[in-house]
This record gives sequence, C-alpha cells and structure tokens, in this order.
Amino acid sequence: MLPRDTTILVVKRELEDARTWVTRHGVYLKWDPDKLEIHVAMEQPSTGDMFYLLGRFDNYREEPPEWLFCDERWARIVEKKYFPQPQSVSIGSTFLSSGPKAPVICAPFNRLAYAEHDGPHNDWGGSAQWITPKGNSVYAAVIGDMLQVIRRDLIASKGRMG
Amino acid sequence: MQQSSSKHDRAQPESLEVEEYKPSAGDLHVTVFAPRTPEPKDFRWDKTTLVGEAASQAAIFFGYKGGNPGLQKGDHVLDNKKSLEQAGINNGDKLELVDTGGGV
Repeated sequence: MLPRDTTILVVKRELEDARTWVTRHGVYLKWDPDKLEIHVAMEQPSTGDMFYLLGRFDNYREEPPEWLFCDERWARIVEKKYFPQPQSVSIGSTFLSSGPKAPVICAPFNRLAYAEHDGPHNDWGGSAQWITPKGNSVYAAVIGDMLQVIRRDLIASKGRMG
Repeated sequence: MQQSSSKHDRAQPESLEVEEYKPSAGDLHVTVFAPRTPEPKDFRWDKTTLVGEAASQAAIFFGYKGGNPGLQKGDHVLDNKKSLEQAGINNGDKLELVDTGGGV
C-alpha cells in the first residue's frame, strides 16, 4: 500500500495539470485529501441532468482509482439510476455498462472493473497492470485523461440506466 | 514571345529576396488541448491529413504512449478515418485530444 502522503502529492499534481480541462468544460471538481476522494459534477447535454462522479484514490498509482456515478452527496451507493444510459456512439463502444452484478465504468482505469474488486474483468491482468495499454480498450493514464473519456461517454449518453 | 522568369533567374544575388512563408491552400492551423497538460499547442497540418494521424502526432507531442488517440471538436469526437477537411476542421479551430478506445 502506497503511503497516503505520496498519493496526495500525485493526485494534487495531476489535478493541477488538468485544471485547464476542468475550466474549459465548466466541470465542478472538488478534491478531498482527507478522504482521498474527488467529487465531480457534469451535465448530460441530451437531458440537462447533472451526473455525479466519485473517484477514490487510496493506493493510487499502484492501482487505478475507483470511479463510480453516485448521488448528489457523493455517497458510495452503486445504483443504476445514478449511471447514464449509453447510446450507440460513432467511435468504438461505450464503457458505461450495466454489468453482470452492478453498473460499472468498465474501463482499465477503473479499479471497480477488475474481478479482484468484484468487477467483470479477469482478463486485464489484474488492477496492478492497469497502466499497460490494452489494445482497443480505452486508455487513460492520468486523472485529466480519465475525466476526459468519462465525459466523452456521458456526452454520448441519454437518460439514466434505471 | 513571352519571356519566362524562372526561380533560377530570381535567385541571382542582385535580386535575391526571401519570400514570406504563406501556407498552401491545404494548410490548417489549429490549436490542440490535451486534458493532461495546462498549455495547448499549435499544429499545422494539411487538410488531407487523416484525423487519426494528426491525433497520433499530437499525442506524441503531449507525451502519450499507447492508446487510441483521437480528436474532439467541441463535444463531437471526430472519425479517425476521415481527413481533417472531411471532418469539418477549419483554420483556427480548437481541438482536444481524446482516447477513442472502447470498453466493456
């Protein structure tokens, strides 16, 4: 397990690098170093609804963060009604999945996508291998890139899963 | 008979001039942002350059290794297989790097 202070330094630096992106897209973002959490709010253009994204960063970058859509208090409650409903997209396939057990951002940069964390994937080499590109799967290696692709699929979504 | 004026003629020392660089009709001058970097970068590509090719060049500049680089204009992710012209890119456009890989 990485020291907590190391994780805080890394996250602070990556958020500083992503500040232009956050401003350009009018995204609400709050970093809570005590909880090692990032709280993000983004609008779904097709409906005007707000979606709330929770990122948890313990042991980051040894493992990817834990990303999920949640309620407006950023409580860690995984329910379909908090996840955007994916639509067919012009590029590739969306990584917003209703999942075999629970909805999940099914991407290598999400800890919750791995089988060892109760996710659907046992074919990505484990969460410690998250930084290795995986063919045609979406790739995001720092927080700014992760937010960009999550927003990419939110823009292409319409309504909610449940 | 009309006299020709070749480049060789103009290159004589007494008439040597350095012409100001003017982009050809195919040149597109765009600004690319990367979500991992605060400062954008200006790029100049030919309008026939494929979106995916331009995205890969920009990605290398911004330090990306691997993945499936693409470009986004506004909220629209461009088709990597189209040329910049076919994708509707104009001079002065502001673009953004985005990974075009899928999931599930």
